[in-house]
Amino acid sequence: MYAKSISKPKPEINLSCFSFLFSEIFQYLSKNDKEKDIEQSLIDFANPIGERVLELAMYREKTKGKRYTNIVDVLHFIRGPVWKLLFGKMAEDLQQSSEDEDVYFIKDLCPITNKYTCTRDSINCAAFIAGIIEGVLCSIDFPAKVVPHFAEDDDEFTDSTLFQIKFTKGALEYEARYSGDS
Amino acid sequence: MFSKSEKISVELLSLTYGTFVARLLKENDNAEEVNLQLHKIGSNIGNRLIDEFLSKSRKTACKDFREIADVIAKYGFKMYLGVTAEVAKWNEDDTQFSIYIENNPLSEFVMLPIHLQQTLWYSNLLCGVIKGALEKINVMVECEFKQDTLRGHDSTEIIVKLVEIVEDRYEDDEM
Repeated sequence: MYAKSISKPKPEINLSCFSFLFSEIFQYLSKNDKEKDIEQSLIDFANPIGERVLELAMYREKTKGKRYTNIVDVLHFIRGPVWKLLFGKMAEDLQQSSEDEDVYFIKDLCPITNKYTCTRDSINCAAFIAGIIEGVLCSIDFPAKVVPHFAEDDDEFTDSTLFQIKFTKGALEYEARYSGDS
Repeated sequence: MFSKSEKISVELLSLTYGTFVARLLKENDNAEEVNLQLHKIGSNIGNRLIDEFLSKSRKTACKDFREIADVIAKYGFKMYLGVTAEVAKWNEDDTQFSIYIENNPLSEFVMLPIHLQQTLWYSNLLCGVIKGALEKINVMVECEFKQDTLRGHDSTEIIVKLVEIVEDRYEDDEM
């Protein structure tokens, strides 16, 4: 029964339902996680979600059991299928940093976490999404640190966020090991 | 009617909720405490959700408790969780009913570990939401889970019991 039900995308539901829940989680974390700053709390909170999202996305893409061996493939997988599963659309953009080889950026013009939140205090609630990405990357054996930045060059989409993805040494080594094989 | 509002995937909601419940379980001593917290958090949500619900659904004042029950089940659940619920088991004086939910999106992908099956009401947030929302329109209720398929029951049932409908009182200005 379960196998049948997860293979098809479920109907979508009202965004505000998520937003209400998210705002309560935000408040809970800011009360109970005082020693961390709130963005870090959100990232840590969302990490385990990433793990499950990965499983589900692979199942849907019929790539269950597939092993990703290079960083660019993994990032495309996140930008495409993972983003679609979570938000119903692909992420706007994927770029490699011009300065650092191990740093990439995924851009989302209007992250849903920022839809009904006030971003005045320069807290970016998209940290929650960053946490999910981190969780996905970690479970797929490409551990990375993901940090949300407001994309300041964008006047039209003020919530526009760049997710800065910095891969760990371990991830780079993992890729190098497998690229030698092929 | 609700198609205009922006959508997200059910999975994101259920995974987020699941992670939150897991977190609460980790930071509280027992499941009963978590049930209470979920109820309270739900009630906060209900307090705010009712405004949006009333403006989007364009519902006008319900004439009695029976109509309220119908609106919750047919419109409330539909609008926020994308499922409809059934109202049943009215008591004799129409002050208590049960809501049956099929395919509760919150408990998607969830299996409760044995030690929580007797104690945790996983979706207790929903009871809080109902109570919190009705409270804002002066309808005081008590709301609790009776059955949950996660516990191995046949169905998922929430009991809503009317405590009182508070009449708006207008005092004359002092002369």
